[in-house]
Amino acid sequence: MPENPRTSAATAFAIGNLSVAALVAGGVFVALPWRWWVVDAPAGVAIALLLVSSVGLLWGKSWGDDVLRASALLLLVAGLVLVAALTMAISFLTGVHGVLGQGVAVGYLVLVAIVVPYLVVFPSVQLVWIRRRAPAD
Amino acid sequence: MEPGRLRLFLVVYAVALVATAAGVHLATRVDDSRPADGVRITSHWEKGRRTARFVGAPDAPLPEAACGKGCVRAVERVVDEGPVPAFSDVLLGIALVPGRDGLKVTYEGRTEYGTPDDLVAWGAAAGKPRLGKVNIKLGLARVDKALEAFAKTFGTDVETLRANASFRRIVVRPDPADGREKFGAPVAPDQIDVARLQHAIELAGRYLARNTRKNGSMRYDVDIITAKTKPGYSFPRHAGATYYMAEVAAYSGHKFVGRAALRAASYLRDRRTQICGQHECVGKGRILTIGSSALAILAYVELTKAGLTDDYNDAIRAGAAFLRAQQREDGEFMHFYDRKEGRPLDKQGQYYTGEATLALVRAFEVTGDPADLEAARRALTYIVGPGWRFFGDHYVYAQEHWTCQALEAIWTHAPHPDALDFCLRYQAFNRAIQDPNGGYTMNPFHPASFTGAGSRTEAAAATLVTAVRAGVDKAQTDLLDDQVRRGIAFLLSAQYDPGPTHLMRRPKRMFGGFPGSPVDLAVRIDMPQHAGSGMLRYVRYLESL
Repeated sequence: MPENPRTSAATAFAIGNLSVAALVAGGVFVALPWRWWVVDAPAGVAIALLLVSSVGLLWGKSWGDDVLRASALLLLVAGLVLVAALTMAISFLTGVHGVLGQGVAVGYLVLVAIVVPYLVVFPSVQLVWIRRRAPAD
Repeated sequence: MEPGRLRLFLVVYAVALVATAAGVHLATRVDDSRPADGVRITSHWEKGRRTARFVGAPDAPLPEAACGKGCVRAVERVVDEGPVPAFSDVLLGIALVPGRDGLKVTYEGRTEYGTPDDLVAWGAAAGKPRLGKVNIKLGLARVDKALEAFAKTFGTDVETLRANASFRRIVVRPDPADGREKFGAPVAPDQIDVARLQHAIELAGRYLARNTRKNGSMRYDVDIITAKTKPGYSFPRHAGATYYMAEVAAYSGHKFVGRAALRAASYLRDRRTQICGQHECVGKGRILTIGSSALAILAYVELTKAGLTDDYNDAIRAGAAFLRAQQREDGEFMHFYDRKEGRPLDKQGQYYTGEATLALVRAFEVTGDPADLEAARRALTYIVGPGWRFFGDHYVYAQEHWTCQALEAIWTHAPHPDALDFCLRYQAFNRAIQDPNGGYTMNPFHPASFTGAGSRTEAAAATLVTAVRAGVDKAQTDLLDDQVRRGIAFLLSAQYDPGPTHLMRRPKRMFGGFPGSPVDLAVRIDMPQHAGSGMLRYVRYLESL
């Protein structure tokens, strides 16, 4: 099978995926106080895909783009679900608790601000990049 | 995925999410500042039980039903209402603001109301809600009890009610005709003076004395509705409450409180003192904490210094020796002792190091043994140094009320500038989490607890006294003074003087007590202790000016 060229963009995405894998691992398996398969299983799959896609990108493997596409889609779906859940929680809690809810709303907004770059923008850029380089390959 | 399609998808997602979120917010919000033009709910309460309920139009005359001696008439108007998700207890609990919201349930054409008082009386408001193992401290903890009460009212079961009834949350406001005792009304910090504080301090002491039995044990945690004592007992808290009663007796010369303090101290020395290896220790069971012994020493010392007894010198020496034997080389204490194994357990829990440190300083004032003072100095050095050293340690603090009281106590004998610096930083942290009412909370969704306000106020007052003695600049001491006053104002608003008597089976038993929070109205013995202790430290400061 033909190998993919290792470009600087591929290297950057590989490093980015390793960083996001560390972020997900720390956020789910260290920060969360108890284990729940609904969260743990997708997080485990996402971490595995991110690590494998990093290997594929760094070594220019032919399957690298497929794994990267899968990991980017998984991250994007998880990110959109998480952003939606946090946003709905903000709207519900500020609606119920009024001004008292503003403190937690700010906290949740900070979480949204953390989630969006890593779990929405980053995988979206990856998906666009894969799509654009596909014809050249 | 095509970039154009991805962009379109993300735009549609963002618009739909914002629109849905705005819809949820608008649908769930209630406006408690609206004119009170909803239905009027009149309730008759006698000894913690609702004996009658009348719901009428806002302009209808008040019901003529008699509300005689011993009956309290609560009259409230519904201000606004909104939807609640009743299919889940967790969501329903989160959707109700403790102390403010009530529930309106319509089933088979009939509507019943659960006012905030009802929720307290049903036990739905007490405690902390949990989501699995997580204490979410948000909303009502026991909505299941409210559902059970409604189901009983409608003559059905909870699941049938949940499936077929309509649930709405309501916000109510007292009507001018409301006959309940004012409780929880804010007290202005500038209204706090020596006489007001002395009154509150004595009431708290009398509460504890009244709830000390003949054998010296205490009614540990008294439910406001039933006046019954809840299960559970803590010897450190028994000793702490004894310490406070001894302080009140020493300060005011109140004999009733002094006699109760002596009974409670005797209970510790004569019934709960055990052998821990070569030493005497206080507690019960195989594993004992140093906290019981430490706080018992405080009580014994206070009784001795007040001149109420001189029977406790040996117990003070023995207790101090036990604490010293539990101390490590670095100043920290081994907090537990295994009586079966006959050895200390080098594990640490909350509070005990600070308690032991304060106890050793106070013991020194009776024993005159330099070893006690040196042990206290080493412990304090550990607490404010290596004991709290990590990245970010200047921004986050544990509960250090005993530490700052130890600082005040040791300053006379061996001033400790590092401990003063630590307590000043700790108070700055506390001011950052002090809410506009004077309470302390880091959770914007749950009322501040009175216990936390009491312990932080006693620490702040002790820091203030020490800061003034140490010549700390006035700007800093003014901040401390304002912090203490606001904390005390919050506490005074909560004292049962007489409090919500309509919810009490036996108001006399609860008189002078402090509840856990505005919605958890039970009185545990450490609540009046910490609240009263904070006020006592401040009134002494005011009298010294």
